[in-house]
Amino acid sequence: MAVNKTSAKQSFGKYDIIASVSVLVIILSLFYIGFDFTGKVITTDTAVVNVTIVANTAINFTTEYLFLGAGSVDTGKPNATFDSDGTHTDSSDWSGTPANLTLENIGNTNVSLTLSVGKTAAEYIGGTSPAYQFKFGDSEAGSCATNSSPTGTWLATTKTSNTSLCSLFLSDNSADTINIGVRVVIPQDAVAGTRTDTFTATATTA
Amino acid sequence: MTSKEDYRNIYKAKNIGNNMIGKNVAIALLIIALVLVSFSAVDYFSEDDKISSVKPDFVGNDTGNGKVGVVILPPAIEDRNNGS
Repeated sequence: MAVNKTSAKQSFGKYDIIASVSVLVIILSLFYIGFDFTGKVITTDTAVVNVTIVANTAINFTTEYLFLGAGSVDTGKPNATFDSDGTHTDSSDWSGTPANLTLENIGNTNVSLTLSVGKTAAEYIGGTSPAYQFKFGDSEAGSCATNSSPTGTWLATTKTSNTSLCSLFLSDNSADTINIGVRVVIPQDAVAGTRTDTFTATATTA
Repeated sequence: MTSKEDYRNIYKAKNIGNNMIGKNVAIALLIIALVLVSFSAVDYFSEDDKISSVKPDFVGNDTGNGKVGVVILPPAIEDRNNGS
C-alpha cells in the first residue's frame, strides 16, 4: 500500500510535463493547419486564387498632330475657311489633305471626356473676326456612348473652360476611339505665318 | 515494517513516475511543437495580409494633348492697275 501511495503522488516529472504540453501544442497546431502534412487525413481540399484588376484611367491621342494645310485668302475675299475634312473656301492656293486627331481610351474604365484648347481664335489666327472650331464623332461606332455635345457639328473651341464631349466614353477595345476635326476661318487681314495650338482632352472616371 | 524490498519498490516507483517520458523524447516533442507553431504563425500572418495590402482601385483623371497646325500664306499680289 505504501508503494502505491508514493508512486501516485509523484507520477509526473518535468520531462513528462514538457512532453505533455508539447503534444498538446502539436495537436492544436495540426488542427489549425488542417492536417495537410500527411495528405491522408483530408482527401479533398480547396484552394482560393485571388486576383485584383486595378482600375486604370488613361487616354491617348493616337493621332496627335493635325495639319490643316497652307493657303492664303483670295484677293477681294473677306476670309478663307480651311477644315480637316479637306474643305476650303476662298483660298485657291490652299494645300492640305483630310485628317483628324484621333483620341483613344486606353484604360480599362469608362470615362467622361472634356476638351479645351490653348488659344482663342484671336490668339491662334488673329485678324478681324477669325473663327476656330472643332467637331467630334465616333471613329469606332459606339465609342461615345453618351454624348454631352452634338456630334458631327462644328462647335466653338474653348480656352478657359472645358467643353464636355462625352459623359460616357467607353473603354471597350472595339469601341474606344473618337475623331476630332478642326476648322479655322482666316480673315483677310490675318498675319501670314505658321500657327500651332494644343488640344487638351481630359478623362475622368465615369 | 518496511522491508528492504519495499524500499527498492518505492525507489523504482519514484523513478518510473519521474521518467515515464525520457529527456530526449520530451525535447523532440518540444521541437516538433515549436516547428508546428511556427508553421501556424506563418500561415496566419501570410495570406490575409497580402490580400488586404492590395492597393485600391485607381479612379482618377488623365489628360492627352494633340497639336493643330496651319500655315497662313501671304495673299497673292494682284496688280490690275499698271501705271505708265
